[in-house]
Amino acid sequence: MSNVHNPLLLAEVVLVVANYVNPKEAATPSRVCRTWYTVFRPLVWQTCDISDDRLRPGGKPLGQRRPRPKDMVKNAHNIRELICNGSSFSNFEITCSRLKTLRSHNVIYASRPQWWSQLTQLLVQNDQLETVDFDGTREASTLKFWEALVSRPALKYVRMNSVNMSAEHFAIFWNGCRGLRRMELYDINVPCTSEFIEEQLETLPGLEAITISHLAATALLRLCPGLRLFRWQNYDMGGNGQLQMLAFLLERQHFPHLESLQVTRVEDLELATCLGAMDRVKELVIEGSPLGLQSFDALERNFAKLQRISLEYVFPIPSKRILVLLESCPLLKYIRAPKLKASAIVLGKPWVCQDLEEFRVSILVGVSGKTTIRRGSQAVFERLSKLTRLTHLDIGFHYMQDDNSDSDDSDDSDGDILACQGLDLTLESGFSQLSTLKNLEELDFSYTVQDMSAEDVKWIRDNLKKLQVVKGICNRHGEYRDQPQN
Amino acid sequence: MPVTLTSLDDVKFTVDKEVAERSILIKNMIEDVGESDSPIPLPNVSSAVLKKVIEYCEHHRNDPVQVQDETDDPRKRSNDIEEWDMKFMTVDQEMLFEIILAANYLDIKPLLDVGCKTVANIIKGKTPEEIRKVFNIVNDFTPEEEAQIKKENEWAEDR
Repeated sequence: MSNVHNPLLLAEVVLVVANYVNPKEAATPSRVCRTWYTVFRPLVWQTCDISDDRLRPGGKPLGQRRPRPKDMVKNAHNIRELICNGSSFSNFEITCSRLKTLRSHNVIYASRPQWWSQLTQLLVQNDQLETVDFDGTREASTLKFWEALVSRPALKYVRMNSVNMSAEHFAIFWNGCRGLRRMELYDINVPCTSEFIEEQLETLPGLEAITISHLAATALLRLCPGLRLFRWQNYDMGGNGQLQMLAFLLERQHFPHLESLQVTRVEDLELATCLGAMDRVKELVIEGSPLGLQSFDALERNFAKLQRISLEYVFPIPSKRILVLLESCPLLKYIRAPKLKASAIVLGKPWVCQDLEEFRVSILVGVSGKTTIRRGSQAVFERLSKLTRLTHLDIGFHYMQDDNSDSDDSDDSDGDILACQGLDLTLESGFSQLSTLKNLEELDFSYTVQDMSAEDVKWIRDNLKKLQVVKGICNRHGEYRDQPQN
Repeated sequence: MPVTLTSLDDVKFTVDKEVAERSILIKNMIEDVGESDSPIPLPNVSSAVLKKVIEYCEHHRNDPVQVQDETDDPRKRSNDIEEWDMKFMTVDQEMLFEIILAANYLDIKPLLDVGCKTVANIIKGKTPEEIRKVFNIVNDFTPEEEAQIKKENEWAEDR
């Protein structure tokens, strides 16, 4: 073969290769040669984070580098998503004009006198913005800011947190967001009454999802007939009159598209009423309150349609109730729940959730002796092995609480819950049954006590090829693995 | 309805029209020429490579034709390669290059995608020098340029 032309020197071919490279990994290929630099450079700068390390929890890791200001100016036209915070404005000259996503955060309740004018400037510069996600400051927001925000023609998703605004500003925002699909309002301080809402605010038929905390939820909801998802995030101790009103509203106004409900700290009756008023429930997320009998009954009518259920800090909840979900919901894709007893699983029916992708439930196998634990684990692995679409398996003991919820089980030989063991992830306990989980990307067994041998670990490496994240301690000698693997 | 393709080295391959038309280039040529028995010349593709390309098109003859999706979300793009394709692409680097070149010239998008996915999987985790070595790419930067680019993109490494 003489003089083979190298296709990887053709920009059009390298472009196709770049399609399959994660933008986070584009920096290295960009250094290969001139053609590769031209192709990969926009990918490198696609998402640019210029926030500093002192970001709110969940921000980027400490020590992560920021670009050099002059390089940022040079590549401003490549940036589609900008992540910044208050200090970024003084450290960088932000000339971006093609942003699709802007995330701009603050330390909560910080004082930043320039914040609103700086944000406004950034908004005005970028008319392709689709997502704007920002925190407020102690200073009140300005009229110019809200006008700039709602005049973004492509705006689809707004998330705001800790913002002080006047009722007039809120009206400008609400009425100006004709094309908005999703809205998240956290900790918004607006002095307005239900009457104001009823008289001044318009209907937003295009709004599909809304998250509210601390605001007159019911009055706003009346204006969103096209709602698909409603999320109520309230951690106040003062009880939940809001959800009572939501239940009241749902019984009187029909929301034909509503199928996802996410709530915190609710009463059983209120939740049951809401669920009963929905045409279908595809997704239910509860945090910090029990899933009572009435709510569970209301949910039962939706077992055939349920796709996602998350029960976080939901105590007490008997194993049987969680098990019923696995045994009855054929479309289930995602389940998060506090705990499940292996003994209940063994006595239960086969699971119908064949398409389950994420399983996040602590599994308790009991205290008495190795044999019980082995047998229990074996049976659970058998059930898990049928879930061939599983990508995330999390059986760690993240939220352990002794709540006596399983004391109604006839088989209570497992004793004190707090002393229970988790699944035994060894080949001797039948772990190899999970070889069917070809798509598994994450395995989490944090806070469970394991006694894995080198052979067990090797088995994982050899058989679960797509595994990228493993969390947990493998054995008493402290072999700890928490790593993205290739 | 059979179609005859002639390679660079004058070897004739007869295939079904449906198989040949997985190549948009060939499809267009057939439309332009109309009803004809004369073979279609492919002077840019050697017989060894054409044989491989035909093998691919035969196996995938019933695949739905990919529609250009403008709302294509890069995050949803999979780097998965199905088993048959993976075996098919287990070739030496020279042949890999030839297949990609042929897929590009003949405009067979799925084959080009598979070839490029294979390249993307190979470059994962490698340094620039390692990538150059594997693919015989010459470093055409000056030392100053190279240092400059390294600094420019340093923030983006290991995100």
